[in-house]
Amino acid sequence: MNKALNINKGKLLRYAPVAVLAVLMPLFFRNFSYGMLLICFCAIYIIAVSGLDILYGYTGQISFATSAFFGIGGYGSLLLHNHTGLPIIITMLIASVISCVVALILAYPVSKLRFAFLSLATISFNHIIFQLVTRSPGGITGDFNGAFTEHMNIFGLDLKESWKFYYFALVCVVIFVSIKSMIVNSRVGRAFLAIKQNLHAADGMGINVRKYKVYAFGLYGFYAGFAGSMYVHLVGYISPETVAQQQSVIFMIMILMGGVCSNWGPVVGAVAIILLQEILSHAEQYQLLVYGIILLIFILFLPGGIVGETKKLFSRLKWRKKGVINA
Amino acid sequence: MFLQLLVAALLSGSIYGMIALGYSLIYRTSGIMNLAQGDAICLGGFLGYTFYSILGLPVLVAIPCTLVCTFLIGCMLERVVIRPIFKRNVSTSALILATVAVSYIIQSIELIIWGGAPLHMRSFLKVTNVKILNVVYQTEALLCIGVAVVAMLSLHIFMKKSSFGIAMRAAAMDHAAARSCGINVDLTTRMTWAISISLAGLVGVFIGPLYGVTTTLGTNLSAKGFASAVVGGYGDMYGGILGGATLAMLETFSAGYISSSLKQMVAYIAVLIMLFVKPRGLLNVEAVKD
Repeated sequence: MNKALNINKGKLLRYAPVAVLAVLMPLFFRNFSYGMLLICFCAIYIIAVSGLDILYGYTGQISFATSAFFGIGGYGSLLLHNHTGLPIIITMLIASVISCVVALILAYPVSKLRFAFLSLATISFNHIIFQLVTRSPGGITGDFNGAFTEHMNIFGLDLKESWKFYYFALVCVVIFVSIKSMIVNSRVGRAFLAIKQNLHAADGMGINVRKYKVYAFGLYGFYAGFAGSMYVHLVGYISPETVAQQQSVIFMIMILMGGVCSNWGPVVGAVAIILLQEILSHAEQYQLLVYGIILLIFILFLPGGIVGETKKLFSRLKWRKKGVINA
Repeated sequence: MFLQLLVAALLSGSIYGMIALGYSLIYRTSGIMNLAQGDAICLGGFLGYTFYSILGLPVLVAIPCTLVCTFLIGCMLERVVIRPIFKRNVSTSALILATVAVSYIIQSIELIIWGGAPLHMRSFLKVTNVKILNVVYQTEALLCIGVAVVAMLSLHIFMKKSSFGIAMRAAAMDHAAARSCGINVDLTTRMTWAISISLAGLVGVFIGPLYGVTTTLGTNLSAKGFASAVVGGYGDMYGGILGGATLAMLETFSAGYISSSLKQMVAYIAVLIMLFVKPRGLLNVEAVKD
């Protein structure tokens, strides 16, 4: 108990500068509101990618349907708010729960599939959601034109400006990332890791593989759905492009680039991809090429992602300093 | 109405079947899902457009040229990308993502070379419509169906009768055993990739005049291709063909008789249902493990 507390204190001290920096962030972007908006997007993607990390990084289940759940959260909150007029924060939560439930329903049959067939099933699911959005019954989602809704406010407190939204997003990121870190360090998280390492061994140890896979999917659905609902109330608009298949792959690139199985991986990945998108925004035809090359590089040469490889590098340097030959 | 729908169904069925065939061949030999299959279709279309419409070669020269090019590209893909990835022992999910990366790279190269605007290919035949029994058919569609049937039959004969085809099937069954019988497994694997990619390229050439060639054409078709492979039985040549035909019938007739907005969704719903209920597909293929 004492030891755990000590580690926490040390960690808190280490995080203090980051926290100060995060809180003061809007000051640096006082005259650059577009930059602030990008940081808000980063925060949203961090939440979605954290969810994907639970599923892909910890449980080893591939999913090409992140943008589908993102879209369910986004469109769900939009429709609920526009049609019932409930407060936004409540519709966001309801939409995320819907996304979570959909993920659970999908996961129950899907959890028996692995790798290739899992990816096919999730791709198909993403296509189905995309078709539903673009050819919705009665056109409630605005089909290809997208749909508008109100900007974020919490019970009357207006968060339309991006620096105000930023604080809300920051709180959400901290909550979601700490929940994730709590889950993955618990019994459930160890079960996830066991499933990833060796399915049959996990089964033999008495872990209910299917149950935990379904849990992982549910968490993933909730995270992605919440991120989607944040997105729709930040922008005030959502278009079917958000739900497209390619967007799901971009989420995969984020997690691979940042690094799996860490709290910082999604942060680094989301920031890196947002920066990259900004840099490439004037050369759209090279965007796919860059994504493809980045994917290949990270799969082939840097499988730990930026965070994982940096950690490896540091530990190697540490060993060298101590004079231990590292083979 | 029925006959026209049937021809439309056979047309998409033959296209889906050829794509599914490519998926299955690669799955059997390499054990991975090649999500770049759709982009090979586009590549075929673009190469066909270049040879036929830009360079103005006659049909009977342009199509073999395209086939040879896509064949070589398939060889190169296996040698330059897939084999190094296999050597590094990365996880299966990373392999799938690697094929996505390949697909992106191919797409953007196409975009850079040929541009984003859809290209309209000249028709291969002088006659555009034929009238049989009071029903008008597009000759391009009939040609496409014919080519697909010929390609499938010749592939069947190649796989069953020629010694190299038998070696390919043996290598797909068991790498180690085939190697100990003196089969060059690396070569058969590469040939399988080349054949799959050139099959997709062939599809691309023949649908060029029908749909026009764009870089995004492949995304949709490749999804339909894997859908057919799953429906028929993933990893089996004949399963792919059967699945393609079944799926195309389902799609076309549901669009024709129920609602056209259903058309795009049917395939994906079929995949999910098949994966949940009968992952071995219609032909009960044992390729689906776990």
